[in-house]
Amino acid sequence: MDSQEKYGVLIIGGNRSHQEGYSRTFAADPRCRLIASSDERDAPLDRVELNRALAEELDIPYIPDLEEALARDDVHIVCSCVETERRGRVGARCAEAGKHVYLDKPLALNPDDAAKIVAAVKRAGVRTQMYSNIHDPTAQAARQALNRGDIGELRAIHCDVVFAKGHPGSAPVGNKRVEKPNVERYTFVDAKREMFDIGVYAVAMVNWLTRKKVKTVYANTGNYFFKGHFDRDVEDFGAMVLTLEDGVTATVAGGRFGWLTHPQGGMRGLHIVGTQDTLTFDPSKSHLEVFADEPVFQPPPPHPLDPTGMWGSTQTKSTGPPKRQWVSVSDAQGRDEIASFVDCVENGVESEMNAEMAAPSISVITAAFQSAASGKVVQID
Amino acid sequence: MESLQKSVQSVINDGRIGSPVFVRCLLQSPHADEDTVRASAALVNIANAWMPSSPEQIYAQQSQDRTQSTTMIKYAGGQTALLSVNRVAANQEESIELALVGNKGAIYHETPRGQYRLMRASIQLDDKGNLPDLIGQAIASGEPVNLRSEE
Repeated sequence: MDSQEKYGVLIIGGNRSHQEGYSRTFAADPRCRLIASSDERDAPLDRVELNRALAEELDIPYIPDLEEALARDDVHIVCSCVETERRGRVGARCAEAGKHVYLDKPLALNPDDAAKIVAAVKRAGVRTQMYSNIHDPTAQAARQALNRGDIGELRAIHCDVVFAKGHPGSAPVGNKRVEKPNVERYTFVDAKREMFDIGVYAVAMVNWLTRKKVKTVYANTGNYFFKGHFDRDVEDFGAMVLTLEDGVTATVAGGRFGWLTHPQGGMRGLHIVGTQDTLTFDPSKSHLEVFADEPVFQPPPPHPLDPTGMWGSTQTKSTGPPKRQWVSVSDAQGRDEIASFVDCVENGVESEMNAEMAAPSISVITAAFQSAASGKVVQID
Repeated sequence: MESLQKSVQSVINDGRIGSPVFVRCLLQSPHADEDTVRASAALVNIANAWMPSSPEQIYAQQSQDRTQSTTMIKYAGGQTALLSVNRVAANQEESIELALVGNKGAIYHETPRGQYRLMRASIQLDDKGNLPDLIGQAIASGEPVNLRSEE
Protein backbone atom coordinates (compact mmCIF):
# COMPACT_ATOMS: atom_id res chain seq x y z
CA MET A 1 0.00 0.00 0.00
CA ASP A 2 1.26 3.49 -0.90
CA SER A 3 2.24 5.60 2.13
CA GLN A 4 -0.74 7.88 1.47
CA GLU A 5 -3.12 4.94 1.20
CA LYS A 6 -4.10 4.47 4.81
CA TYR A 7 -7.34 2.63 4.29
CA GLY A 8 -8.03 -0.62 2.53
CA VAL A 9 -11.57 -0.75 1.16
CA LEU A 10 -13.65 -3.88 0.67
CA ILE A 11 -16.64 -3.48 -1.62
CA ILE A 12 -19.82 -5.54 -1.39
CA GLY A 13 -22.05 -5.33 -4.42
CA GLY A 14 -21.30 -4.81 -8.06
CA ASN A 15 -22.78 -3.67 -11.33
CA ARG A 16 -26.41 -2.55 -11.33
CA SER A 17 -25.94 -1.20 -7.82
CA HIS A 18 -24.62 2.13 -6.53
CA GLN A 19 -21.31 0.35 -6.06
CA GLU A 20 -20.62 1.25 -9.68
CA GLY A 21 -20.07 4.83 -8.51
CA TYR A 22 -19.07 4.47 -4.87
CA SER A 23 -16.20 2.06 -5.56
CA ARG A 24 -14.65 4.37 -8.13
CA THR A 25 -14.99 7.36 -5.78
CA PHE A 26 -13.20 5.43 -3.02
CA ALA A 27 -10.54 4.40 -5.53
CA ALA A 28 -10.03 8.05 -6.51
CA ASP A 29 -9.44 9.12 -2.90
CA PRO A 30 -5.67 9.15 -2.35
CA ARG A 31 -6.18 7.87 1.19
CA CYS A 32 -7.88 4.69 0.02
CA ARG A 33 -7.11 1.58 -1.97
CA LEU A 34 -9.61 -1.00 -3.13
CA ILE A 35 -8.63 -4.37 -1.69
CA ALA A 36 -11.27 -6.77 -2.95
CA SER A 37 -14.93 -7.37 -3.69
CA SER A 38 -17.00 -9.85 -1.76
CA ASP A 39 -20.50 -10.89 -0.71
CA GLU A 40 -22.25 -13.45 1.44
CA ARG A 41 -21.47 -17.02 0.43
CA ASP A 42 -25.14 -17.66 -0.35
CA ALA A 43 -25.74 -14.40 -2.23
CA PRO A 44 -28.04 -14.77 -5.26
CA LEU A 45 -26.10 -16.14 -8.25
CA ASP A 46 -27.09 -13.32 -10.58
CA ARG A 47 -25.89 -10.85 -7.98
CA VAL A 48 -22.56 -12.66 -7.65
CA GLU A 49 -22.10 -12.46 -11.42
CA LEU A 50 -22.68 -8.69 -11.30
CA ASN A 51 -20.26 -8.41 -8.36
CA ARG A 52 -17.60 -10.33 -10.28
CA ALA A 53 -18.12 -8.16 -13.36
CA LEU A 54 -17.44 -4.95 -11.44
CA ALA A 55 -14.48 -6.52 -9.61
CA GLU A 56 -13.01 -7.37 -12.98
CA GLU A 57 -13.55 -3.81 -14.25
CA LEU A 58 -11.85 -2.47 -11.13
CA ASP A 59 -9.06 -5.05 -11.38
CA ILE A 60 -9.54 -6.35 -7.84
CA PRO A 61 -10.07 -9.94 -6.67
CA TYR A 62 -13.49 -11.35 -5.81
CA ILE A 63 -13.65 -13.22 -2.50
CA PRO A 64 -16.74 -15.46 -2.49
CA ASP A 65 -16.95 -15.68 1.30
CA LEU A 66 -17.66 -12.40 3.10
CA GLU A 67 -16.37 -13.82 6.39
CA GLU A 68 -13.00 -14.52 4.79
CA ALA A 69 -12.89 -11.00 3.36
CA LEU A 70 -13.86 -9.41 6.68
CA ALA A 71 -11.09 -11.35 8.44
CA ARG A 72 -8.42 -9.57 6.44
CA ASP A 73 -6.31 -7.09 8.38
CA ASP A 74 -5.79 -4.88 5.34
CA VAL A 75 -9.52 -4.13 5.13
CA HIS A 76 -10.42 -1.07 7.20
CA ILE A 77 -13.53 0.21 5.42
CA VAL A 78 -16.39 -1.75 3.89
CA CYS A 79 -18.58 -0.11 1.28
CA SER A 80 -21.84 -2.09 1.29
CA CYS A 81 -24.34 -2.02 -1.56
CA VAL A 82 -26.15 -5.32 -1.09
CA GLU A 83 -29.85 -5.52 -1.94
CA THR A 84 -31.98 -3.62 0.57
CA GLU A 85 -33.46 -6.89 1.83
CA ARG A 86 -29.98 -7.99 3.09
CA ARG A 87 -28.72 -4.67 4.40
CA GLY A 88 -29.54 -5.16 8.08
CA ARG A 89 -27.70 -8.46 8.34
CA VAL A 90 -24.70 -7.53 6.21
CA GLY A 91 -24.28 -4.03 7.66
CA ALA A 92 -24.37 -5.36 11.21
CA ARG A 93 -21.90 -8.13 10.36
CA CYS A 94 -19.39 -5.70 8.85
CA ALA A 95 -19.55 -3.52 11.96
CA GLU A 96 -19.20 -6.56 14.22
CA ALA A 97 -16.03 -7.43 12.31
CA GLY A 98 -14.63 -4.07 13.42
CA LYS A 99 -14.77 -2.41 10.00
CA HIS A 100 -15.93 1.14 9.31
CA VAL A 101 -18.96 0.87 7.04
CA TYR A 102 -20.16 3.10 4.23
CA LEU A 103 -23.79 2.16 3.68
CA ASP A 104 -25.89 2.61 0.58
CA LYS A 105 -29.26 4.28 1.02
CA PRO A 106 -31.76 3.39 2.27
CA LEU A 107 -30.06 2.08 5.37
CA ALA A 108 -32.25 -1.02 5.67
CA LEU A 109 -35.54 -2.61 4.66
CA ASN A 110 -37.32 -1.95 7.95
CA PRO A 111 -36.79 -0.43 11.40
CA ASP A 112 -35.74 -3.79 12.93
CA ASP A 113 -32.95 -4.21 10.40
CA ALA A 114 -31.88 -0.61 10.90
CA ALA A 115 -31.79 -1.19 14.66
CA LYS A 116 -29.54 -4.24 14.14
CA ILE A 117 -27.01 -2.07 12.32
CA VAL A 118 -27.17 0.70 14.91
CA ALA A 119 -26.70 -1.75 17.79
CA ALA A 120 -23.76 -3.51 16.13
CA VAL A 121 -22.09 -0.19 15.33
CA LYS A 122 -22.45 0.97 18.92
CA ARG A 123 -20.93 -2.24 20.24
CA ALA A 124 -18.02 -2.12 17.78
CA GLY A 125 -17.36 1.63 18.00
CA VAL A 126 -16.81 1.94 14.27
CA ARG A 127 -17.72 4.84 11.95
CA THR A 128 -20.63 4.62 9.54
CA GLN A 129 -22.27 6.81 6.96
CA MET A 130 -25.36 6.33 4.82
CA TYR A 131 -25.30 7.95 1.38
CA SER A 132 -27.37 11.15 1.40
CA ASN A 133 -27.56 14.67 0.00
CA ILE A 134 -26.46 16.46 3.16
CA HIS A 135 -23.08 17.40 1.74
CA ASP A 136 -24.62 19.19 -1.23
CA PRO A 137 -24.06 22.97 -1.21
CA THR A 138 -27.78 23.71 -0.94
CA ALA A 139 -28.15 21.45 2.09
CA GLN A 140 -25.15 23.06 3.74
CA ALA A 141 -26.56 26.53 3.00
CA ALA A 142 -29.92 25.57 4.52
CA ARG A 143 -28.20 24.23 7.60
CA GLN A 144 -26.22 27.44 8.02
CA ALA A 145 -29.37 29.54 7.62
CA LEU A 146 -31.12 27.52 10.32
CA ASN A 147 -28.12 27.72 12.63
CA ARG A 148 -27.90 31.50 12.16
CA GLY A 149 -31.60 31.89 12.89
CA ASP A 150 -32.24 33.53 9.53
CA ILE A 151 -35.89 32.48 9.51
CA GLY A 152 -36.65 32.89 13.20
CA GLU A 153 -38.20 29.80 14.69
CA LEU A 154 -38.78 26.92 12.30
CA ARG A 155 -42.44 26.26 11.55
CA ALA A 156 -42.33 24.08 8.44
CA ILE A 157 -39.96 22.41 6.04
CA HIS A 158 -40.85 21.17 2.56
CA CYS A 159 -38.48 18.89 0.70
CA ASP A 160 -38.86 17.22 -2.70
CA VAL A 161 -36.56 14.78 -4.42
CA VAL A 162 -37.98 13.42 -7.66
CA PHE A 163 -35.78 11.96 -10.38
CA ALA A 164 -36.43 12.79 -14.02
CA LYS A 165 -35.59 9.34 -15.35
CA GLY A 166 -37.49 6.58 -17.04
CA HIS A 167 -40.16 6.50 -19.73
CA PRO A 168 -43.49 7.61 -18.22
CA GLY A 169 -47.01 7.23 -19.49
CA SER A 170 -47.08 3.44 -19.51
CA ALA A 171 -48.92 2.86 -16.22
CA PRO A 172 -52.73 2.67 -16.39
CA VAL A 173 -54.30 6.12 -15.97
CA GLY A 174 -56.50 6.83 -12.95
CA ASN A 175 -55.73 3.52 -11.33
CA LYS A 176 -55.79 4.14 -7.61
CA ARG A 177 -52.94 2.37 -5.88
CA VAL A 178 -53.84 0.05 -3.01
CA GLU A 179 -50.81 0.22 -0.77
CA LYS A 180 -49.65 -2.55 1.52
CA PRO A 181 -48.70 -1.76 5.11
CA ASN A 182 -45.48 -3.79 5.05
CA VAL A 183 -42.58 -3.67 2.64
CA GLU A 184 -41.73 -7.29 2.01
CA ARG A 185 -39.80 -6.93 -1.21
CA TYR A 186 -37.91 -3.96 -2.51
CA THR A 187 -35.54 -5.16 -5.22
CA PHE A 188 -36.68 -5.99 -8.75
CA VAL A 189 -34.76 -5.89 -12.00
CA ASP A 190 -37.06 -3.39 -13.64
CA ALA A 191 -38.51 -1.44 -10.70
CA LYS A 192 -38.03 -0.52 -7.08
CA ARG A 193 -39.95 1.18 -4.34
CA GLU A 194 -39.44 4.80 -5.32
CA MET A 195 -40.96 6.59 -2.31
CA PHE A 196 -38.57 4.49 -0.26
CA ASP A 197 -35.55 4.62 -2.52
CA ILE A 198 -35.70 8.29 -3.48
CA GLY A 199 -37.94 9.64 -0.73
CA VAL A 200 -35.29 8.58 1.78
CA TYR A 201 -33.11 11.46 0.56
CA ALA A 202 -35.79 13.95 1.52
CA VAL A 203 -36.73 12.30 4.81
CA ALA A 204 -33.08 12.03 5.85
CA MET A 205 -32.62 15.70 4.90
CA VAL A 206 -35.56 16.74 7.09
CA ASN A 207 -34.19 14.70 10.00
CA TRP A 208 -30.68 16.08 9.59
CA LEU A 209 -31.71 19.72 9.15
CA THR A 210 -34.22 19.84 11.99
CA ARG A 211 -32.80 17.29 14.45
CA LYS A 212 -36.39 16.81 15.54
CA LYS A 213 -38.14 13.49 15.95
CA VAL A 214 -41.02 12.70 13.64
CA LYS A 215 -44.17 12.09 15.66
CA THR A 216 -46.85 11.44 13.01
CA VAL A 217 -46.98 10.52 9.32
CA TYR A 218 -49.77 10.87 6.76
CA ALA A 219 -48.95 9.68 3.25
CA ASN A 220 -50.15 8.68 -0.17
CA THR A 221 -48.43 6.56 -2.80
CA GLY A 222 -49.12 6.16 -6.49
CA ASN A 223 -48.41 4.10 -9.58
CA TYR A 224 -48.55 7.16 -11.76
CA PHE A 225 -45.93 6.68 -14.45
CA PHE A 226 -44.36 3.30 -15.13
CA LYS A 227 -45.87 -0.02 -16.17
CA GLY A 228 -42.94 -1.89 -14.63
CA HIS A 229 -43.80 -0.50 -11.21
CA PHE A 230 -47.48 -1.21 -11.75
CA ASP A 231 -46.76 -4.81 -12.76
CA ARG A 232 -44.52 -5.31 -9.72
CA ASP A 233 -47.07 -3.62 -7.47
CA VAL A 234 -44.60 -1.06 -6.14
CA GLU A 235 -45.08 2.70 -6.02
CA ASP A 236 -43.29 5.07 -8.36
CA PHE A 237 -44.18 8.12 -6.30
CA GLY A 238 -45.15 9.08 -2.77
CA ALA A 239 -45.92 12.16 -0.73
CA MET A 240 -46.10 12.61 3.02
CA VAL A 241 -47.00 15.15 5.69
CA LEU A 242 -45.07 14.75 8.93
CA THR A 243 -45.51 16.28 12.35
CA LEU A 244 -42.21 16.86 14.08
CA GLU A 245 -41.46 17.59 17.69
CA ASP A 246 -42.64 21.06 18.72
CA GLY A 247 -45.44 20.89 16.16
CA VAL A 248 -43.24 21.63 13.15
CA THR A 249 -44.78 20.51 9.85
CA ALA A 250 -42.70 18.74 7.24
CA THR A 251 -43.74 17.61 3.79
CA VAL A 252 -41.89 15.30 1.44
CA ALA A 253 -42.39 14.20 -2.14
CA GLY A 254 -40.21 11.44 -3.51
CA GLY A 255 -40.23 9.32 -6.62
CA ARG A 256 -39.39 9.11 -10.28
CA PHE A 257 -41.38 10.76 -13.03
CA GLY A 258 -39.69 10.46 -16.40
CA TRP A 259 -36.79 11.76 -18.50
CA LEU A 260 -38.59 14.68 -20.11
CA THR A 261 -40.45 15.99 -17.08
CA HIS A 262 -37.68 18.31 -15.93
CA PRO A 263 -34.97 20.27 -17.75
CA GLN A 264 -32.32 18.90 -15.39
CA GLY A 265 -32.21 15.87 -13.10
CA GLY A 266 -35.58 16.42 -11.43
CA MET A 267 -37.30 18.31 -8.61
CA ARG A 268 -34.96 19.14 -5.75
CA GLY A 269 -36.81 21.86 -3.86
CA LEU A 270 -36.19 22.62 -0.21
CA HIS A 271 -38.15 25.32 1.59
CA ILE A 272 -37.77 26.28 5.23
CA VAL A 273 -40.54 28.35 6.76
CA GLY A 274 -40.02 30.31 9.94
CA THR A 275 -41.58 32.98 12.08
CA GLN A 276 -39.53 35.68 10.36
CA ASP A 277 -38.86 34.47 6.85
CA THR A 278 -39.21 31.69 4.30
CA LEU A 279 -36.16 30.56 2.37
CA THR A 280 -35.86 28.36 -0.71
CA PHE A 281 -32.83 26.22 -1.46
CA ASP A 282 -33.00 24.62 -4.86
CA PRO A 283 -29.93 23.92 -6.97
CA SER A 284 -32.10 24.03 -10.10
CA LYS A 285 -33.06 27.66 -9.58
CA SER A 286 -29.64 29.09 -10.32
CA HIS A 287 -29.12 28.41 -14.00
CA LEU A 288 -28.63 29.76 -17.47
CA GLU A 289 -31.32 28.93 -19.98
CA VAL A 290 -29.83 28.25 -23.38
CA PHE A 291 -31.94 28.22 -26.52
CA ALA A 292 -30.09 27.44 -29.70
CA ASP A 293 -30.46 25.88 -33.10
CA GLU A 294 -29.04 22.56 -31.99
CA PRO A 295 -30.28 19.03 -31.37
CA VAL A 296 -32.23 18.59 -28.16
CA PHE A 297 -32.04 15.85 -25.56
CA GLN A 298 -33.64 12.57 -26.49
CA PRO A 299 -34.23 9.97 -23.78
CA PRO A 300 -32.20 6.80 -24.19
CA PRO A 301 -34.21 3.78 -25.30
CA PRO A 302 -35.23 1.65 -22.31
CA HIS A 303 -32.77 -1.11 -21.43
CA PRO A 304 -34.58 -4.40 -20.69
CA LEU A 305 -32.61 -4.82 -17.45
CA ASP A 306 -32.92 -1.18 -16.42
CA PRO A 307 -35.95 0.51 -18.04
CA THR A 308 -36.04 3.44 -15.62
CA GLY A 309 -32.39 4.37 -15.99
CA MET A 310 -31.04 3.48 -12.58
CA TRP A 311 -27.50 2.35 -13.37
CA GLY A 312 -24.61 3.56 -15.47
CA SER A 313 -23.64 0.08 -16.67
CA THR A 314 -27.05 -0.51 -18.25
CA GLN A 315 -27.65 2.92 -19.71
CA THR A 316 -28.18 2.61 -23.41
CA LYS A 317 -26.71 5.38 -25.51
CA SER A 318 -29.01 8.35 -26.17
CA THR A 319 -29.55 9.18 -29.80
CA GLY A 320 -29.06 12.86 -29.03
CA PRO A 321 -27.02 15.11 -26.77
CA PRO A 322 -27.49 15.16 -22.99
CA LYS A 323 -29.81 17.67 -21.32
CA ARG A 324 -28.11 21.01 -21.63
CA GLN A 325 -30.83 23.63 -21.98
CA TRP A 326 -30.27 24.61 -18.36
CA VAL A 327 -26.69 25.21 -17.33
CA SER A 328 -26.03 25.39 -13.58
CA VAL A 329 -24.61 28.59 -12.11
CA SER A 330 -23.08 28.17 -8.68
CA ASP A 331 -20.21 29.45 -6.60
CA ALA A 332 -21.09 27.06 -3.80
CA GLN A 333 -18.66 24.33 -2.91
CA GLY A 334 -20.01 21.08 -1.57
CA ARG A 335 -17.99 18.39 0.15
CA ASP A 336 -17.61 15.10 -1.61
CA GLU A 337 -19.88 12.60 0.12
CA ILE A 338 -17.40 9.74 0.30
CA ALA A 339 -14.38 11.95 1.08
CA SER A 340 -16.32 13.31 4.04
CA PHE A 341 -16.76 9.75 5.33
CA VAL A 342 -13.05 9.05 4.97
CA ASP A 343 -12.46 12.32 6.87
CA CYS A 344 -14.61 10.96 9.72
CA VAL A 345 -12.63 7.72 9.81
CA GLU A 346 -9.34 9.60 9.64
CA ASN A 347 -10.28 12.09 12.36
CA GLY A 348 -12.13 9.66 14.58
CA VAL A 349 -15.38 11.63 14.50
CA GLU A 350 -18.95 10.63 13.81
CA SER A 351 -20.51 11.28 10.42
CA GLU A 352 -23.52 13.57 10.52
CA MET A 353 -25.42 10.87 8.60
CA ASN A 354 -24.22 7.87 10.56
CA ALA A 355 -26.38 4.80 11.04
CA GLU A 356 -27.99 6.28 14.14
CA MET A 357 -29.01 9.46 12.28
CA ALA A 358 -30.13 7.47 9.23
CA ALA A 359 -32.23 4.88 11.09
CA PRO A 360 -35.24 7.15 11.87
CA SER A 361 -35.77 7.76 8.16
CA ILE A 362 -36.57 4.04 7.80
CA SER A 363 -39.14 4.29 10.58
CA VAL A 364 -40.73 7.32 8.92
CA ILE A 365 -40.99 5.68 5.50
CA THR A 366 -42.31 2.46 7.02
CA ALA A 367 -44.98 4.52 8.78
CA ALA A 368 -45.70 6.28 5.49
CA PHE A 369 -46.52 2.96 3.82
CA GLN A 370 -48.77 2.07 6.75
CA SER A 371 -50.53 5.42 6.45
CA ALA A 372 -50.94 5.09 2.69
CA ALA A 373 -52.42 1.62 3.21
CA SER A 374 -54.83 2.61 5.97
CA GLY A 375 -55.70 6.20 5.02
CA LYS A 376 -54.93 7.16 8.61
CA VAL A 377 -52.35 9.18 10.47
CA VAL A 378 -49.67 6.86 11.89
CA GLN A 379 -47.92 7.69 15.16
CA ILE A 380 -44.22 6.96 15.60
CA ASP A 381 -43.06 6.10 19.10
CA MET B 1 -53.93 33.93 -10.09
CA GLU B 2 -56.87 33.49 -12.41
CA SER B 3 -54.60 33.85 -15.42
CA LEU B 4 -52.29 31.17 -14.01
CA GLN B 5 -55.24 28.85 -13.49
CA LYS B 6 -56.39 29.37 -17.04
CA SER B 7 -52.92 28.89 -18.54
CA VAL B 8 -52.38 25.67 -16.62
CA GLN B 9 -55.84 24.46 -17.59
CA SER B 10 -55.09 25.12 -21.25
CA VAL B 11 -51.94 22.96 -21.09
CA ILE B 12 -53.92 20.19 -19.37
CA ASN B 13 -56.69 20.47 -21.95
CA ASP B 14 -54.14 20.18 -24.77
CA GLY B 15 -53.05 16.86 -23.29
CA ARG B 16 -49.41 17.90 -23.19
CA ILE B 17 -48.69 16.48 -19.70
CA GLY B 18 -51.12 13.60 -19.87
CA SER B 19 -53.41 13.12 -16.89
CA PRO B 20 -52.53 15.22 -13.79
CA VAL B 21 -51.39 13.05 -10.88
CA PHE B 22 -49.63 15.35 -8.41
CA VAL B 23 -49.68 19.02 -7.61
CA ARG B 24 -47.24 20.74 -5.28
CA CYS B 25 -47.99 24.36 -4.53
CA LEU B 26 -46.42 26.80 -2.09
CA LEU B 27 -48.00 30.22 -1.64
CA GLN B 28 -45.93 32.85 0.15
CA SER B 29 -48.20 35.52 1.57
CA PRO B 30 -47.02 38.76 3.17
CA HIS B 31 -50.47 39.59 4.52
CA ALA B 32 -50.15 39.18 8.27
CA ASP B 33 -53.87 39.32 8.78
CA GLU B 34 -54.66 36.78 6.11
CA ASP B 35 -56.24 33.59 7.29
CA THR B 36 -53.93 30.84 6.03
CA VAL B 37 -56.81 28.37 6.24
CA ARG B 38 -58.91 30.40 3.83
CA ALA B 39 -55.91 30.75 1.55
CA SER B 40 -55.39 26.98 1.76
CA ALA B 41 -59.02 26.48 0.84
CA ALA B 42 -58.52 28.64 -2.23
CA LEU B 43 -55.51 26.53 -3.24
CA VAL B 44 -57.53 23.36 -2.72
CA ASN B 45 -60.22 24.72 -5.03
CA ILE B 46 -57.62 25.41 -7.71
CA ALA B 47 -56.03 21.96 -7.35
CA ASN B 48 -59.45 20.30 -7.44
CA ALA B 49 -60.21 22.01 -10.73
CA TRP B 50 -57.05 20.64 -12.32
CA MET B 51 -57.33 17.07 -11.04
CA PRO B 52 -59.27 14.52 -13.09
CA SER B 53 -61.15 12.99 -10.14
CA SER B 54 -62.92 14.26 -7.07
CA PRO B 55 -61.23 14.84 -3.70
CA GLU B 56 -61.64 11.95 -1.33
CA GLN B 57 -59.71 12.79 1.82
CA ILE B 58 -58.26 16.00 3.24
CA TYR B 59 -55.58 16.30 5.89
CA ALA B 60 -54.23 19.59 7.20
CA GLN B 61 -51.82 21.09 9.68
CA GLN B 62 -51.39 24.66 10.84
CA SER B 63 -48.75 26.09 13.13
CA GLN B 64 -50.17 27.46 16.37
CA ASP B 65 -49.15 31.00 15.45
CA ARG B 66 -50.72 30.51 12.01
CA THR B 67 -47.42 31.19 10.26
CA GLN B 68 -48.09 28.32 7.91
CA SER B 69 -50.72 25.79 6.97
CA THR B 70 -50.26 22.69 4.88
CA THR B 71 -52.98 20.59 3.28
CA MET B 72 -52.79 17.23 1.57
CA ILE B 73 -55.61 15.99 -0.62
CA LYS B 74 -56.10 12.44 -1.82
CA TYR B 75 -58.31 12.07 -4.86
CA ALA B 76 -60.63 9.26 -5.85
CA GLY B 77 -58.38 8.32 -8.76
CA GLY B 78 -55.32 8.09 -6.51
CA GLN B 79 -53.90 11.54 -7.32
CA THR B 80 -52.30 13.71 -4.63
CA ALA B 81 -52.08 17.44 -3.88
CA LEU B 82 -49.67 18.97 -1.39
CA LEU B 83 -50.52 22.63 -0.76
CA SER B 84 -48.83 25.03 1.63
CA VAL B 85 -49.49 28.63 2.59
CA ASN B 86 -46.60 30.36 4.32
CA ARG B 87 -46.73 33.83 5.78
CA VAL B 88 -43.65 35.86 4.83
CA ALA B 89 -42.38 39.27 5.95
CA ALA B 90 -44.70 42.21 5.16
CA ASN B 91 -42.13 43.80 2.86
CA GLN B 92 -42.03 40.77 0.57
CA GLU B 93 -44.16 40.15 -2.47
CA GLU B 94 -46.88 37.57 -2.62
CA SER B 95 -45.66 34.70 -4.75
CA ILE B 96 -46.54 31.20 -5.74
CA GLU B 97 -44.44 28.21 -6.70
CA LEU B 98 -46.18 25.44 -8.53
CA ALA B 99 -45.35 22.02 -9.91
CA LEU B 100 -48.18 20.14 -11.60
CA VAL B 101 -47.09 16.69 -12.65
CA GLY B 102 -48.97 14.64 -15.20
CA ASN B 103 -48.41 11.02 -16.10
CA LYS B 104 -46.50 12.15 -19.21
CA GLY B 105 -45.08 15.54 -18.30
CA ALA B 106 -44.95 18.42 -15.86
CA ILE B 107 -45.76 22.12 -15.58
CA TYR B 108 -43.65 24.43 -13.42
CA HIS B 109 -44.40 28.00 -12.47
CA GLU B 110 -42.83 30.54 -10.17
CA THR B 111 -44.12 34.07 -9.75
CA PRO B 112 -41.72 36.41 -11.51
CA ARG B 113 -40.04 38.99 -9.29
CA GLY B 114 -40.14 42.70 -9.93
CA GLN B 115 -42.66 45.47 -10.35
CA TYR B 116 -44.07 44.60 -13.73
CA ARG B 117 -46.07 41.45 -13.96
CA LEU B 118 -48.53 40.18 -16.48
CA MET B 119 -50.42 38.32 -13.78
CA ARG B 120 -51.68 39.11 -10.32
CA ALA B 121 -50.23 36.60 -7.90
CA SER B 122 -52.71 37.38 -5.16
CA ILE B 123 -55.04 34.55 -4.45
CA GLN B 124 -58.76 35.16 -4.42
CA LEU B 125 -60.10 34.02 -1.09
CA ASP B 126 -63.27 32.11 -1.60
CA ASP B 127 -65.86 32.54 1.11
CA LYS B 128 -68.26 30.15 -0.54
CA GLY B 129 -68.35 26.45 0.17
CA ASN B 130 -67.31 24.54 3.23
CA LEU B 131 -63.63 23.94 2.48
CA PRO B 132 -62.31 26.33 5.18
CA ASP B 133 -64.50 24.51 7.72
CA LEU B 134 -63.27 21.11 6.54
CA ILE B 135 -59.65 22.20 6.68
CA GLY B 136 -60.25 23.65 10.13
CA GLN B 137 -61.82 20.37 11.17
CA ALA B 138 -58.79 18.42 9.91
CA ILE B 139 -56.41 20.76 11.74
CA ALA B 140 -58.37 20.54 14.98
CA SER B 141 -58.75 16.76 14.91
CA GLY B 142 -55.26 15.91 13.64
CA GLU B 143 -56.95 13.31 11.46
CA PRO B 144 -57.86 13.21 7.77
CA VAL B 145 -61.43 14.14 6.92
CA ASN B 146 -63.24 11.95 4.41
CA LEU B 147 -64.88 14.14 1.83
CA ARG B 148 -66.95 11.71 -0.15
CA SER B 149 -69.01 10.83 2.90
CA GLU B 150 -69.87 14.53 3.15
CA GLU B 151 -71.46 14.49 -0.29
